[in-house]
Amino acid sequence: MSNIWLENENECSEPLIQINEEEDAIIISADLPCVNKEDIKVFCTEQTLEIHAKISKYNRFEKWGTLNQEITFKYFKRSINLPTKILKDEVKANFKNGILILRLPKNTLKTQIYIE
Amino acid sequence: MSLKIIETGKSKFNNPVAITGFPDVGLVGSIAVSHIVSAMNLKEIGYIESDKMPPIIVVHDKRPKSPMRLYGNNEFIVAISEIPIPHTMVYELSHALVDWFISKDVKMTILLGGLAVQKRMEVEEPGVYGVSTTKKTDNILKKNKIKFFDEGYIKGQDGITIRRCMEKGLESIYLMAEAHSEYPDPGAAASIVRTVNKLLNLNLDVKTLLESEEQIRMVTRDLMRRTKQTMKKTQNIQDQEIPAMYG
Repeated sequence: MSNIWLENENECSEPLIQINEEEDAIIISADLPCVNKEDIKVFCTEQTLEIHAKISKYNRFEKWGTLNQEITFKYFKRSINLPTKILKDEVKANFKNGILILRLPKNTLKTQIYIE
Repeated sequence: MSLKIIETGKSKFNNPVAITGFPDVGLVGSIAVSHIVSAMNLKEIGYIESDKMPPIIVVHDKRPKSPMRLYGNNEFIVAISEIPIPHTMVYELSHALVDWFISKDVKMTILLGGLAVQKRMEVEEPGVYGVSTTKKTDNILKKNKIKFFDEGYIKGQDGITIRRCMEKGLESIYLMAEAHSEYPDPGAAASIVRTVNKLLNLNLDVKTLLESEEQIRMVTRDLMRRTKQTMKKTQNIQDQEIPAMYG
């Protein structure tokens, strides 16, 4: 898989995601604050999804977590194993108010097996 | 040790209004009360201690503190929590808080929270719904044109606290803003703060809250993640408790 950014693991953060299953599709949303639409890359196979996003604003936090460490986040990165196979060429994506929504149609095509 | 409310200092109150906001749907209550504490420049007046709390302390300004604290001045008391409330602590906390509010002659309690809506992204300015405990608080909602939450259920801390307020005859309003269920939602918190402004005739700034929306979403992700886990646990318990006839 091509990855256009050289992501340093220490500068990566996992976005919050929500997965909902409908009858014919899996709907995945990801909360990506401080990200511009053009800085999001989504990759998928029939059973996996990867979200990469470059954080462009407010990425330095002087007091982070319970240890109050100073930390800089530059990327969001999240890999997801999908609960069922999808039609990867028919995935639709939308980004509004910092939330990415992906609609992944389920692959429900059946192949009939003929008995010899 | 059972749950204790420890006062730090000698606060004097003049029939204050108590406001609570605990981690829940979209962290609406938590974000709103944090903003209120900062906008009103309220001072820390106490904290909550319980052996049912996870063994965590937070460090602020180099000092260890309880993650559940009380802020206030003579007119307001605000209860906050930096950790999700464990389900085993909900009743005890509600009872202790309401009893303590009554002991401080609180005239009204306003609980702040979120109401999960599926199509939150399509909502520009989240609506706010109210639940009230008496005719007097009904009239406050009506006068301020706040929609009533007529039917449904309120899970967790807020539900038990408003019920306890009603049992104890403490005037109380629960405000819920339409929110993302699992993402921190400062936009919904801003709607709640606007409503608090109307109800209490205040003029708390909402602009700064909206301007720092993305930053708030970044810094509250971890609390949202932990709150989601706690909510899931509560949901699992509730699922087990639903009688078979409704299954």
